[in-house]
Amino acid sequence: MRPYLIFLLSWFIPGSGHFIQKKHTKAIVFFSGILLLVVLGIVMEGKFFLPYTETSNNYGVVQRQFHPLLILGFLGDLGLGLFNLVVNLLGFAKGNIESVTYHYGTTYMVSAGLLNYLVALNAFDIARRKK
Amino acid sequence: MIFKSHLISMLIFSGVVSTLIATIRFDELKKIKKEGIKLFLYMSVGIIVGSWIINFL
Repeated sequence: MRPYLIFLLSWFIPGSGHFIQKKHTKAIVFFSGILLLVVLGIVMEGKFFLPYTETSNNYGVVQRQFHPLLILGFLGDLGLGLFNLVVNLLGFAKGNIESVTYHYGTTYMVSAGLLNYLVALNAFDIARRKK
Repeated sequence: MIFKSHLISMLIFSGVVSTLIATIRFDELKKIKKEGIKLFLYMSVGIIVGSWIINFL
């Protein structure tokens, strides 16, 4: 299988790139570790980043304002691939800013996304060395 | 709501992240354990010392 396809697969399903390259133990560690961070993030009432903030003016018109730091956070969360899709579809990770653990939860989830990028890059490297 | 303690939240975060990074970097279990423990200690002690210093600012 081509390294780029393995990278994409590993990004979409954490650990799958290692699994198809017969590194089963590593695949299980990556999948369960990233899943654990996401689940804890949701339980801690964290949220996924949106690339913009929404404000409404006096006439009730909602305006979206993009912000570079929010875009970085959004890209970090995007690293979760399938988990991001499922969590968004289920309507979790909306965040509760009043919660004590809100920031921790948000950090858990964005870190899980960033770690999954590293996992996917590692799977890509292994595939390229084998080729 | 779980982990009201910031210290416990931070320790769990450090544990999971250091395990994942050590598993990415090495293939042998012995090296993974060594690297994982080292990273965990760096993160935990670094954060505790950093927060203690910030306390005085």
